[in-house]
Amino acid sequence: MMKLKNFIQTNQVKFNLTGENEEEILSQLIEPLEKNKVVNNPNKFMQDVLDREKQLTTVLANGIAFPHARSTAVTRMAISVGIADDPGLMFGSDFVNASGIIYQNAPVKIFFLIAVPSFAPTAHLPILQTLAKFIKDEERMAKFLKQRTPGLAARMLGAYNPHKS
Amino acid sequence: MTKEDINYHEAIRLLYKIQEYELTLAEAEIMHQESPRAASKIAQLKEHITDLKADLPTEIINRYERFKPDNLPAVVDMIHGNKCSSCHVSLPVGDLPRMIAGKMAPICHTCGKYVYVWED
Repeated sequence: MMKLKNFIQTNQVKFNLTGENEEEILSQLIEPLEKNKVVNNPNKFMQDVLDREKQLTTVLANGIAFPHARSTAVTRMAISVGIADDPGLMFGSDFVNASGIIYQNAPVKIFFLIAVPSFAPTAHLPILQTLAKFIKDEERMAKFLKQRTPGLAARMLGAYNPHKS
Repeated sequence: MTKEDINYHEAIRLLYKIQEYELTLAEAEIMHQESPRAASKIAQLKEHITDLKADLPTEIINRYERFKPDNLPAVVDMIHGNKCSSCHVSLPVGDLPRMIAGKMAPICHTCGKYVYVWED
């Protein structure tokens, strides 16, 4: 597991995220990454994220999604966070399990978009582990959603120590 | 054409795909754990991996597997034109066209990993 501090800047946290479809949602999340020179080709990165999403959805049952992709359009690892207003935004396709049961994706309230450079394809796994641990604690998540500014939300994520809690 | 005659370039493209699927499985273990929601997709990915491996010569698969235990990629990108993204050592310029043409095993002479040359 890894601390998140080095991967999230204040302008990479966005409240009131909107979007009618995956592309609209992702483009808002990619925009700050392009500004911060993490992504040098936003269209290519978006396509890589959509392709990765087709392999296996990154939407979890609790309204949280971790869209990500390894991409040649990414220069260094970074996370872009988007928080949507209630009830959240539709993202990703539904699941069908081996018995044919369809599980509909719930609306997503929090997005953690992870940009992974193609030359370090496994570097994001510890970040995913940290985020997965971060979201497991309901109390912590409730507190996270109450943060009033992007700066406070970024600070809370940055201060999280996965080895302590 | 038997699987032993496969062009190196094509083999690395398939290996890269296998690696992508295996990374997706590693991600699924973290994100979805035992969730029945993802079970069928995960089973599909495992099937794809088995099918792709069946199309490749054993020596190529063995080499790929040998570099995996450290959980680092066995197939790595070329960066800045001719550098291996694992050890950052340049490959001999004369070898690159032969690797791209599939006439020479695309292996980094320094760290031994397979190198993938992006075509775009």
